[in-house]
Amino acid sequence: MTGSFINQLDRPSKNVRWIIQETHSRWSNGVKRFYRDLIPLDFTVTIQSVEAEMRTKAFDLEPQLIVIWEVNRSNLVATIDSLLQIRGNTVSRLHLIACDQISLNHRLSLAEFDVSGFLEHPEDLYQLKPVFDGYFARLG
Amino acid sequence: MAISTKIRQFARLLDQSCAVVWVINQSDELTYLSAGCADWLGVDGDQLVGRRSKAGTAVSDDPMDLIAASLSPPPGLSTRGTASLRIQPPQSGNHRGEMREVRYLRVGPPDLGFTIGVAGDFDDRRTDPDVQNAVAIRQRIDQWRLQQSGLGSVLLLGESRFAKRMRQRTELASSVRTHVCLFQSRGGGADRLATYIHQRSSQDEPLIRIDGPLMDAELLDSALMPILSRLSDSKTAKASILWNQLNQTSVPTQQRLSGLIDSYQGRLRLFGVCETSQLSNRNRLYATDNLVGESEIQGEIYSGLSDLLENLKINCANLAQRVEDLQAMSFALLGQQKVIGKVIAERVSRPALDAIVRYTWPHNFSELEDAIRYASQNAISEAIRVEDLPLNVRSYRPNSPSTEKVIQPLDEQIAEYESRLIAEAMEAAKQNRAEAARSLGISRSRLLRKLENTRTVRSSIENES
Repeated sequence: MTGSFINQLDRPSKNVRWIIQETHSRWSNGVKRFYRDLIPLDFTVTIQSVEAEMRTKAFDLEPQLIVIWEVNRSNLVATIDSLLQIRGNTVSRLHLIACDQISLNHRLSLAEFDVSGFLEHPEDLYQLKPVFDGYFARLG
Repeated sequence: MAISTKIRQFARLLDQSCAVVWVINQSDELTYLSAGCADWLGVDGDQLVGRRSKAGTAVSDDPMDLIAASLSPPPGLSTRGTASLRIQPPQSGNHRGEMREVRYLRVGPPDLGFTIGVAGDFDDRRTDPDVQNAVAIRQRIDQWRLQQSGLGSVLLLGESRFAKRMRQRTELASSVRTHVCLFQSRGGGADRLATYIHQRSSQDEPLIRIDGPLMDAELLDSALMPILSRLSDSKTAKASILWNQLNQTSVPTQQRLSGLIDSYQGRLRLFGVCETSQLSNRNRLYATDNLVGESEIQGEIYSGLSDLLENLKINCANLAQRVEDLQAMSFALLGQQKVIGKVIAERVSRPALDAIVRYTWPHNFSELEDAIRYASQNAISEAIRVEDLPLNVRSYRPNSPSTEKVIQPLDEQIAEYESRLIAEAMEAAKQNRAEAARSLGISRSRLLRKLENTRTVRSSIENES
């Protein structure tokens, strides 16, 4: 009885949607492995892997959103278009780029569009912990 | 083996392959046409040999001369060496060859040179996908910068003293390549203004945006790696950083940034955006008058960076201070919306302008931008009406009590929260105090005391009311 009541008191009150735009499940598996170390206790997270053509639909009406964009040479321009499209109404969104095949020049191009971090491997998520800490501190 | 034999083999190869090839000698006459030419042109190649094939010269009515002329290379081939054309030969009887891509090649010295023409399907005009990608990315960056700097220019409109001061400072910042410190309250549009300055002063340089509060000293090198490698690769390369909320960035990160800027000796330019609401009251006062000095910003901005940013400071004044500029800014923002998308509205009606002027714009320029975008999308006539504006703007009344947030004292809030938890525990325990106390993890006597206090508070409130 005591435990259940205390659990109710401690129940998380905020939710963040974490969307991974990818072709396989490499990055969503990475997120599922590391998200507990990155997200404060009073937040819950909904992890969703989406196909490229679905991505902007999934972002509508989601004020608190973390997005991982899997970028390669073929979808680079489409990714920039999506970043531009959803940036207009961004309030509390964190954009991360997952890329291991694009050049530094392409990374430089993406960095102009408010991208908060680059990931080459899923384990790099843990190195971005300060970014997540700052993001959640901002959300309060 | 005799030379003539080699030529014969070559001619046989051409004829077997059905390749469409012809040769024009230095006197601009056709000297050779492969068998494939006959199929394409609909005439025997022998009928064309010796006929003149030079662009821009008079041609007789003889159909063979017309066909020979159609195979002529474009003028200037002798200087360029190669040329491309699409050729459709003239009709010959019932036959008319299809239009084909032709490549011309001029070989040999100028006085003895000759021209080879080859018709076929060529793929050499297709752009490399990487080049196409690079062009598309460049277009988007340019478009994005133009849009942002356009908004930055809107921020400078108006005749208030704040607008005039911002214009002067921005003009100066655009004319020299120096570090710039921009102050703003939340949503003040400083990042747009920085893009505007960057676009005007150094648009060829890459610009990287950093969200200060999210950045860590250890991550900084990784985040800036694309521009740092470019700066390291070339001694003439330059780059700019637009650093948002610089005063919310950890000091070790600022120290690292300062070190990097020093190490590239002026090739790495910093646009530091500081949010003045996060500065102390004294600092905010100074920032408002654009007089922020080292003593005011130290403590939140690392002294090394503070020194760098000392040269040029721009204060993006709050819109609440720029009431007289709101009309010009609203019209300009509406004009931008018209450029971007299908917007019917041409102007902002007087009642809507009154509502815009009446509102205090706590989120500053970004809120005005959102409001005009919203209104322009909602407008059904050529003038934006009050009803088209967002609810918070159109319903705002300066002395409306509903807009003033009453903050309850902390003790009262805690007491209220505690009594709610106790009530829930009591309800869950079906009013059994001992069980409720156990579930809350406190003693029964403590629970009783708290229940008594709650009753006392409630009765005193009821008596007062």
